[in-house]
Amino acid sequence: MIVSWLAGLRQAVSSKLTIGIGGLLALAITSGQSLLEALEPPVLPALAAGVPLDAGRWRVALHDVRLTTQSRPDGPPAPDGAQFLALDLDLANRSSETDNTFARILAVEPPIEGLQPNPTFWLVRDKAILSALQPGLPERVQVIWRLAPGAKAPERLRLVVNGETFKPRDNLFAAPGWFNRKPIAAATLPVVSVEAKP
Amino acid sequence: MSGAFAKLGALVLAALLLAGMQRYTPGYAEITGPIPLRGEFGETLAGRGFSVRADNVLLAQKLRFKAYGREVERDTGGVFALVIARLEAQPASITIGSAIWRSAQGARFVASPRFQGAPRLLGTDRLEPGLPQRGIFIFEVPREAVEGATLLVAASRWPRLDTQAEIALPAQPGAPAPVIDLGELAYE
Repeated sequence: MIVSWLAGLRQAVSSKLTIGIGGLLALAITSGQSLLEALEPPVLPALAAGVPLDAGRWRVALHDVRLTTQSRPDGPPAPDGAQFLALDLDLANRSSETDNTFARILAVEPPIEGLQPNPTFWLVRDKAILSALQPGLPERVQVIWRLAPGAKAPERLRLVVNGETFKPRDNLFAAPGWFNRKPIAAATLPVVSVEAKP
Repeated sequence: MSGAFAKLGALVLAALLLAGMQRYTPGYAEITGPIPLRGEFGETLAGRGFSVRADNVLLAQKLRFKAYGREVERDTGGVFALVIARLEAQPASITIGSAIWRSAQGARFVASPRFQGAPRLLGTDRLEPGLPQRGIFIFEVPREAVEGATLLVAASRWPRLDTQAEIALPAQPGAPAPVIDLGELAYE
């Protein structure tokens, strides 16, 4: 009688302990994760101008930033006296498929007041808006931000390069794809002022 | 004692089985993926919604064409691959939204978007039944992606439970021409 009661107690205690330990473990893991995320972000490695960087599906090399009055690589100066920031970069698609998500590679960080957030990407080879990049064919690309009228032109531009990782099977559809976009490097480039060519 | 071994064995077996299933069960994307329709170069393939025949492959370093009244010349860091093909809508009108050059290494090159306004570009206009279209698909590929390629034609870029025509292209398409004028190309 007492023996069976003791055995039942042991069973109950051990199952409660198991459940409790599991819950505590889960709690500890999630708390640890949120603590890690709340910590100061690590200092990003500096990217020098002209140095190629592998950022997930893209290989990117940043060149010079110019303050210009042209809204496109080959056009005449913009009629309303607007000013633009133009960044030259070399871009290659490292993935195995044609892609057009290049707008997410770069971010101006910290943001500059008066700088239009969504720049236009131009394919220098065609002097036309870049619509997609083919795998294994690097291209020279010009990124052009418009400055708001009257906004002060910045002296330097800090750009953060985002990287992604490849997953052969994603969690939802088990299809291959690029995920977990996060900053992997930062470049601070001086803004050079150029006169528009006549 | 043997009971414990049996339990352990069952556990290991279950773990192996689960790991195997996780590794080898086809994923949702594969199960609901394109339905391949394989064929040869020059053969008419009739899929659900459209039929396609690829007749000729040409390579070029530069392409010239007239778009919206302007002369345009395009060059490339690789090579332009042109596939002359014939498309026909089968029971009803359809737009062929996707042509892909799949290299022997497996890279997928979507038809180049750099030729808007070029004459007789396939995939831009809707196909009507009984009115076949002959025209070109233009791809921009690195030189090493030319040999042993496959042409994939489908109604969308990622067909779901729908036909994807897969045409094996000639293994050695020949040397690229320095320049091809799309206005003077022999389509027939």
